[in-house]
Amino acid sequence: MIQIARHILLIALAVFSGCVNSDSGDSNEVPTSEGFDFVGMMASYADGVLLPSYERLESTIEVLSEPTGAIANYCGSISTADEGVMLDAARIAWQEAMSSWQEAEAYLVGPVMDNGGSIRNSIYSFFSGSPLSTCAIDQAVMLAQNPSFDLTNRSFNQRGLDALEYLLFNEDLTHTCPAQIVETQTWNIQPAEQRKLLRCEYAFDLAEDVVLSADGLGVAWQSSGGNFRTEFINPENLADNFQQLSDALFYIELSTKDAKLGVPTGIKDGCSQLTCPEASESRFSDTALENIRSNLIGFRELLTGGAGLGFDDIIIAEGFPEVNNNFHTNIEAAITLIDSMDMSLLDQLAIIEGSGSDASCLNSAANPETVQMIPVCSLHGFLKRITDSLRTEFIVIVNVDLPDGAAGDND
Amino acid sequence: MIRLFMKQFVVVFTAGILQLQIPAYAQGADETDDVLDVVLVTGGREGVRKLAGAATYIDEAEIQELDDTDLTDLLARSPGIYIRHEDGYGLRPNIGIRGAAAERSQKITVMEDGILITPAPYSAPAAYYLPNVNRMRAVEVVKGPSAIRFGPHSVGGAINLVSIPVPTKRTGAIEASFGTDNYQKYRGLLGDRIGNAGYTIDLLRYGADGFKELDGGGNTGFTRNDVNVSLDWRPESNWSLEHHLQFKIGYADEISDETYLGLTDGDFAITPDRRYVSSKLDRFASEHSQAHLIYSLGLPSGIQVVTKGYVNRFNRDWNKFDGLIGGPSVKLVLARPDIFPTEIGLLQGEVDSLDAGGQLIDVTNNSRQYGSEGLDISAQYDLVLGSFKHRLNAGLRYHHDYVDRDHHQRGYEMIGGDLVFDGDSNRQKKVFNNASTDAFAFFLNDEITFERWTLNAGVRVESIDRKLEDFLEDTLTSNDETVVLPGISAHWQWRDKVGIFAGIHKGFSPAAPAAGSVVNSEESTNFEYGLRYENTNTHIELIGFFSDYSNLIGRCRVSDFGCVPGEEFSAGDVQIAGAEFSLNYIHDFASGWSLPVALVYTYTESAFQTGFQSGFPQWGTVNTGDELPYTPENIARFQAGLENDSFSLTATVKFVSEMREVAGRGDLEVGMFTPSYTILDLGGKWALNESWNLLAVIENVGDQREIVSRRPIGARPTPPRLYRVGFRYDF
Repeated sequence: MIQIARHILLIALAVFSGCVNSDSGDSNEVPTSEGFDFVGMMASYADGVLLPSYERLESTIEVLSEPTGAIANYCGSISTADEGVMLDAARIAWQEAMSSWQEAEAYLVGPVMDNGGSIRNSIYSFFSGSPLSTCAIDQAVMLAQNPSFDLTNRSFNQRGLDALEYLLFNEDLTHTCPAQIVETQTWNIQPAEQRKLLRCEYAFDLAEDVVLSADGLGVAWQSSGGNFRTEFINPENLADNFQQLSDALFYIELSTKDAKLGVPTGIKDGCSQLTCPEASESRFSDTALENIRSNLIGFRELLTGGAGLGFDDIIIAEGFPEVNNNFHTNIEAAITLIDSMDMSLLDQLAIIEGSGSDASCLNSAANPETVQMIPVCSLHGFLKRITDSLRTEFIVIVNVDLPDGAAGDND
Repeated sequence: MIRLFMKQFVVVFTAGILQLQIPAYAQGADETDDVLDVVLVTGGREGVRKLAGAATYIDEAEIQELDDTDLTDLLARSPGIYIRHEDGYGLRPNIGIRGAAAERSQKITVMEDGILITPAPYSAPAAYYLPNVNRMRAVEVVKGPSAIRFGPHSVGGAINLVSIPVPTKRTGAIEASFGTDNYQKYRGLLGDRIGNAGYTIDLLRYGADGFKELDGGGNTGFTRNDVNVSLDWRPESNWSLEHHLQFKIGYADEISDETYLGLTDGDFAITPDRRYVSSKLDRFASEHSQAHLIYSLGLPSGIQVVTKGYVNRFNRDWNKFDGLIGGPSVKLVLARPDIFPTEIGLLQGEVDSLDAGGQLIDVTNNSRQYGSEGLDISAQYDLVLGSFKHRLNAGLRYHHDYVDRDHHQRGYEMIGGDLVFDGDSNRQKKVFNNASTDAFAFFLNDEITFERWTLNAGVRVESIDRKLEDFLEDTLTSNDETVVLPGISAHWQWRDKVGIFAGIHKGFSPAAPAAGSVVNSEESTNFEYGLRYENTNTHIELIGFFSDYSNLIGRCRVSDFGCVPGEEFSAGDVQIAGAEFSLNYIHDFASGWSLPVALVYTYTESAFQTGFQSGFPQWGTVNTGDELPYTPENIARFQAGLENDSFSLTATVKFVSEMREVAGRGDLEVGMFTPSYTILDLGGKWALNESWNLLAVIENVGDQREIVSRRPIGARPTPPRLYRVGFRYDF
């Protein structure tokens, strides 16, 4: 009886109930990654990519700046049998710190870009718009002997990892200033050991200064400091921060492909000669390729969000996994190519110069898999494939704008 | 043009009435009918059964059955009602009808004795005040085309709370109830008639310490006081005019330590009654006063004219947790505590505020003063033309309401698990404005009876002038609109016991002044159709409904992050449909016992007809076909009792299916819906004699603790098992 009543009720309800048009159709679908956890993605970038990167940077720089660290050890070994070993150790430590930075520099979002990028420039000033001033560093080495000397008042182009590079890698102990510069007039007449020691001691001071900047970067993100982490994740700021993250991906184009490779190899406008080795990065250590490798690793982390949610997950959610595959294929090809190079960037630029023609370079860049006569030019070719995907498929799928300065690409 | 016509109508109509000499004569009112017809909107229980549309009449016996103080408990007796529970005591109910948004009952028309009673139904429709239902004689729910008489909000329907009338002889009652969490309710009622005049004094006080446990200790309860005095005058019937004058004044206040802040799902699972210390300062304080004058005039021609004048004032201060100054949405923090460990620690008092961004607790005093006043004149005339009986009703109402908002923010540091004022008393106000509305409403209705047919045709016209003065922006915006809202319904008494009815009407919910200069009111076309079966012991009603919204509005409230309170969002076309079923059956045993059974069931489906991206957090990303949030597919209430002249035992089972908390379709996402729940209540009454009645109630017998909502901010529970015992002495 109850069953019959129940069925009558159900039938009656079915007959009486109004019904709505719940056909989803196609034309009105909102073209966004519906349900995608953007907040989780931003948290993943903060906690899984950016903050660990800054922590690595801090720890690798601390190796240089500690009282018993690599630079201090080197300073203490000058004029001893261990001097060469300790210098090599200091250079290796610098290289590790530089690699950390080159990876972190792919994440140009938040406090690192505040105040015109002051934190960034105080750590590394290559892109500050003001080229490294070796003369100013030479002057500072002399001035630093005065107890009232304040390093923080010095310009960015005489501080940071690039200034450290000059002090640790430049074998020429002669100062680079014009003769009329008062501070360095007595430099060249000082004993070589004394000059090494003064440079080393100033390098130590510089390392401490860089640690402070790296510290400041971390603190700016922490809840006990500037709490930018919360600001970064806050969905109210999602549009801005998401665009900033997306803009940061274009470091691989504007800074790596164009500035670090395109201009030195002459592929990119900005070099009026066959090659422009003076525009290359890390000339004293001749480690430009290692920097590019770190940039690529940083780019990959920024694309994928590391182990967490990232742009690549949006691309998959939107149904374009092949775009991710292309990115990964070209990133791997570029890194593998760098790992296979037995000549530095400067060496390869010399080969181009020696050939008297850019044909080999341009051919290598156009056919990076098949033609690798000039490997750095082939590397440029792989990078271009990455950046072409960025500025076409990526911005459409992820629905972001091109960053300022990337509107055109006249490669 | 329409506004001009209306103004002329008011002048002429009022002047005509005033010219009448009021004689000391009356035909003699029906003294057995102590609930005035003029304050009913359905015509009472009998009227509901003959209506050409859906309506529910909840009488005093049902109100007293479990001695309800929570209106939402009573409204569950009506199909087509959607409740989003919040504080567990129904202090500020969220009631929706037929899919109209439940948010603070802002899409329904709420009346007391047929008079608009929410603080400012046009200017700020969120109902922060509703009359205490415990002092009511009846509750009426009107849906479908019948609702167009009761604007301004007619997309879903209307609710009328009918107060205790002046009795025909001296009567009184004293009630007291006591329960869990120091629940106490006291009521005193005295009424008498002296000659042609009468009075009622109705005193009510109730409150509880609350079932929430504040971290570190503190109050989470409430107290309400309600005083109402009604005066009634029915002169002797010596002339051919019949007069009835009723004047009522009322005062109600409330102090409640209520908050918008709920819990994370994780904390809810462990301690559903926990309240974070960051809500420690939260307190709602309100005062409501009202004066209602109802004058009924029966003319020799049979025309009945009813004039209602009313003035309502409502002031409230709600000092409450409102987030983290400069921090992320607390709703998000509660949803993702893993991502926001510092912020959740601040709310819980487990992390101290540091001098960093977003670590100050925002405690904002939302101070508002509301007012509404108006004059409502309606007339009824019965006319017979051949075989057709016409009952003509016409009415005109002028209404003015306003709200003054002054939302003042203060910052508190969380130090050692306590809130410490940061000393800045001069923070920028969050909201500082005045919104006001002048509205004329006119309706005309003809109920035509012919043999077994009843046809109801009516039209409502609303002409609204709105103004918003924003003192922060130093702007003044205004808009006006006039809408014509027709409706028609038919009832066919197919068999003596079976009637069939159908109707269609245009629903309307006006935009608030905060909508700005672009008027964007909510409109819908509503259909309903049903059948009604009635015999001595059985009443069955089965109704289908379909509402086609051409412009559904979402209104941002203070609890919605990411939008400005009062800001309105359009969802375009939305369809809501469903079925309502109600059954009432009484089986009488020969022994004098009887078994009453009642079943109410509502099935609802809804679908957005367009896809869009909305800044209104409840909608978010909407795709075509997505279902509306907070619209459960199934709601049911089953009640069975056993009673005789002295005893009654009642068991009530309430079921609500899952509710989405944001628009969507398909599988429900964890954390984005409230689970279904079933609650059992038991009640028993014992009439010791004609004067003394004892009552015992157990609410939520199974102590089911489920999340009923994650709004306003965070998970909120069903109340725990609650006990109440009480008595009533009538004299």
